[in-house]
Amino acid sequence: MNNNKENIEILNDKALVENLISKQVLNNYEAKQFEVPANYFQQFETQVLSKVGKENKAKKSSFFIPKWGQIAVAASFFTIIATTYLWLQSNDHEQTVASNISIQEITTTEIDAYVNENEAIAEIDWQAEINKETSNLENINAHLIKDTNNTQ
Amino acid sequence: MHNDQDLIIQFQQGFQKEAAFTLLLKKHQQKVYFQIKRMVSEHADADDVAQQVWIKVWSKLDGFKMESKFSTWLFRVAYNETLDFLQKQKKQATQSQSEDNLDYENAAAGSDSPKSSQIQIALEQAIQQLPEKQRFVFMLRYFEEMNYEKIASITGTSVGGAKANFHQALKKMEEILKKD
Repeated sequence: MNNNKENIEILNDKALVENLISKQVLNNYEAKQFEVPANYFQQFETQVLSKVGKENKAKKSSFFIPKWGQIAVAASFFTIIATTYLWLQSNDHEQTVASNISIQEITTTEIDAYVNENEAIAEIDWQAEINKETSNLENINAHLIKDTNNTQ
Repeated sequence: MHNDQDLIIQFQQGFQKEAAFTLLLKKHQQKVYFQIKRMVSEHADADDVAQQVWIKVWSKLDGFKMESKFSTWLFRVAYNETLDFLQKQKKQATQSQSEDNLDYENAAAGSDSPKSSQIQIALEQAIQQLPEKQRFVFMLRYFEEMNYEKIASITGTSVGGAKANFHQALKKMEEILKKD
């Protein structure tokens, strides 16, 4: 009963369209819509199935990392970043400390070792320099003795 | 002939999933394709949209709860994909619209009698000028002879809304055809 009513409604609506446009023109239009290349639907099936297969594989591989695995990866990243940050911080600190050490605090052994390792510095005639400094000191001493004697 | 419901259950249980999907595809692919073709006109476009529809069906079928008929759900997926395509196409095609009109005229020039060609072109143009939803409802009602309940559930509107869309489409086509 309901179906009959529906069918009559559909026929009425179709009649409204056919009053406006001839049935032949509408049929020609519909026939044009049905034109498809030969074997199109067989090829379509193959294309869809291959695409679906690829998508399925991609989906499977992306879900292959379990949740605990994803957490482990995230934790590793965090550890690497934190370690790098702390290492850089401590490196900066060491450099600051180094720049604050004065020459007096360095032992002779360390200076000797440094000089031995650096040829340019090693080429200086240290004995001549020492003799020069010693004679300067002796001159100063002589002057001081002379001045003391004069005042007495 | 396999029943849609059995095939969907088979698919959802993961038992010979691809085989179940292939049977659904074989059964419904032509209807889906022609529904899309009526809206997009070009075969290449209809082919692209139809492929997208079936890929979507593959990925969403596990969540299909069988609250409606599979064919209604499938046509709805096709409707949404077609609308997406037409909206994207609209953005790109504003410049080439005049060329398309010329193509229509050239294509018709070689067929049948001049008068019937003109009417044919006028009809095609009138249909193309309808707003997407009205065009869709018109096609489903006239060519697919679908009842308004089904049209409403495919287009996501009420039965009254679907009826109104059909009559508005008819009125608009009349105006366009009179103008020509």
